[in-house]
Amino acid sequence: MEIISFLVNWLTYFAIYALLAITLSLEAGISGITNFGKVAFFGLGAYLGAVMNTYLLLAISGVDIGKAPPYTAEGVVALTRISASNPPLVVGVFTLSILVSFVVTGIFGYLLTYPIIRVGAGFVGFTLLCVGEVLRAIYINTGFVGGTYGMLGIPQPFIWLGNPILSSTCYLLLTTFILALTYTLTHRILNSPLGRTLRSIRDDDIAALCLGKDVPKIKSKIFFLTSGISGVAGALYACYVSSVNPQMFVTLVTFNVWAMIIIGGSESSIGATVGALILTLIERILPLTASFYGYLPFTPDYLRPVFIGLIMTITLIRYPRGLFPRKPPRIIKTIVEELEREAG
Amino acid sequence: MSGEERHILITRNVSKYFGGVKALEKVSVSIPEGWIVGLIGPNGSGKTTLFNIITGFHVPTEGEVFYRTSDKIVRIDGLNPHEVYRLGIVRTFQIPRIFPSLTVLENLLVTPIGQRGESILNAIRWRSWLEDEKNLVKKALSILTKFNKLDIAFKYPAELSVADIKLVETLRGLMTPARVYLLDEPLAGLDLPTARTLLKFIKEVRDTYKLTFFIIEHRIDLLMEIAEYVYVLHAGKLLASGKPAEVIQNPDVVKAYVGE
Repeated sequence: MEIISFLVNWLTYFAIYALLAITLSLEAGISGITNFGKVAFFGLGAYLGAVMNTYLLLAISGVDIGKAPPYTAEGVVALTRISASNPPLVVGVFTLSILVSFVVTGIFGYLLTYPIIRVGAGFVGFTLLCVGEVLRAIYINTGFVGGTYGMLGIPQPFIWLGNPILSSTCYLLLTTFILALTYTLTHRILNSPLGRTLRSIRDDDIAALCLGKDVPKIKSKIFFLTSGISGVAGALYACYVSSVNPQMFVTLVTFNVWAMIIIGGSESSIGATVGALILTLIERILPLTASFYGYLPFTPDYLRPVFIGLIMTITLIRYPRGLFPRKPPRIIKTIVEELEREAG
Repeated sequence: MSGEERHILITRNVSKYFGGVKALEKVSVSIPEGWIVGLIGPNGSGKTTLFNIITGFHVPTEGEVFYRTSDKIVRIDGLNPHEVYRLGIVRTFQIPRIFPSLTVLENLLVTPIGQRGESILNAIRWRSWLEDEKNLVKKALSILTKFNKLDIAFKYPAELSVADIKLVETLRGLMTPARVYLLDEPLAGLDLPTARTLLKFIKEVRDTYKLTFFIIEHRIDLLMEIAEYVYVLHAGKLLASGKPAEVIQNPDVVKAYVGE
């Protein structure tokens, strides 16, 4: 039983982080947008998911939000009661929150591309890094979302099933489905003429401009998509761990995702996915080994960066372009072979 | 130049000042359709600046640039580079800019504008662009075959010689309905036989596809072999223009290059 719950837990984390890693590989590895602010979109999505799944749920159920806001004990109690007794409402609000996270975070990313295009490629990363930190400062100073303490009791949409393993397995299936969707989407983009154009822009945006590519427009469209999906990952995360607080969305999260795509390979969806698989496994295993490290003068949590650094160094020495480097799209080879056959 | 030529590209009194530096002063050139026209001049005379203005990288301080599309004459100064390209003006750079992470074939395939598979919604539905892609591959392969370069189709730029890279950069333009080529020092860094091959190739492209070439080059001796008309820039001003043989005899030109 423990193994099952471990697996379910790990794979859910994996699916959520893989969403971030795949979109980051599409941004940074393929399109040349050095996104050092991944956590901004992840966090925004999480807070949107949290607010909708609490405030909206309470409001629809007729609870007086003024008296029992979701960040107080009364609010949490009311949320627990509603989520156990009204499945259609909980699932409905959850679905809505996922869609809203996608659209709002996507638009946020799209609007951000305006300053990004103006500051020049080298500063993109730092602009986005700052955006992440600014958003965190805003969460801390907004009483509405619980300030420093954040929000608790965000209902997991399948909690009404009663059995915790069953409900988290359902949640795992849902996140895996969204991951599969995203994977297919990016894989297809990567191997399409659009993927080729994005690569050309990353290689040399001036030359791409000279070849008639509307570079800013293409970049902002892609950034809308990837930001939106990061927002969905955030909402999924908030509902899974049932809480959000500003401390969860520090810059370290961004670089964790970067480590994933560096290890796995930043130019392929499979690389990003495998990177997420490895790093989330380490992250999930470390707490389990706490008892073995009882005699250590520090908590095993501090070993995580050591392990990540070690794996990264070893992979980079052996596989400089990550475990799964880019391959030219098979489709072109197929077409060429087909033409050769036709010609005899 | 006789009066009855159809001019495809015309600049009229184009000036460009960078602060107090007058990079170009009232430069007027006319490029006849289907000709190979050279642009020469010592370093810093404003040749690349003129190219940058024509291709939309700089906005001229004064003056106009006109271009003849298939049916009308349009003013193109102040347009964005990608808009200028869409009108059929292709440029290459002093340092070749082909995409290092794409194969030669992909470098050709990336070029055409407005591909169906370039929008996100179409990109995820392969069937919507597969037919277009097939036609593009066919076209790219036929171009490579025509110039005997089929063997490099699946190679990456890092595996090519400098001459081949320059060739690919020029071939790329043939994937689109390009009408005017602006080549910035195509012969730089090439040895004599390779340079001659490239020039022969340029002439071949011009003759096959009826294109116009406007070429910046420091190797005047080689340029003279294929150019039909030459403009000479010096310190931002047009110093002379005419048939290559005449220009090279012009005392002002000689003075600009070698001094008194």
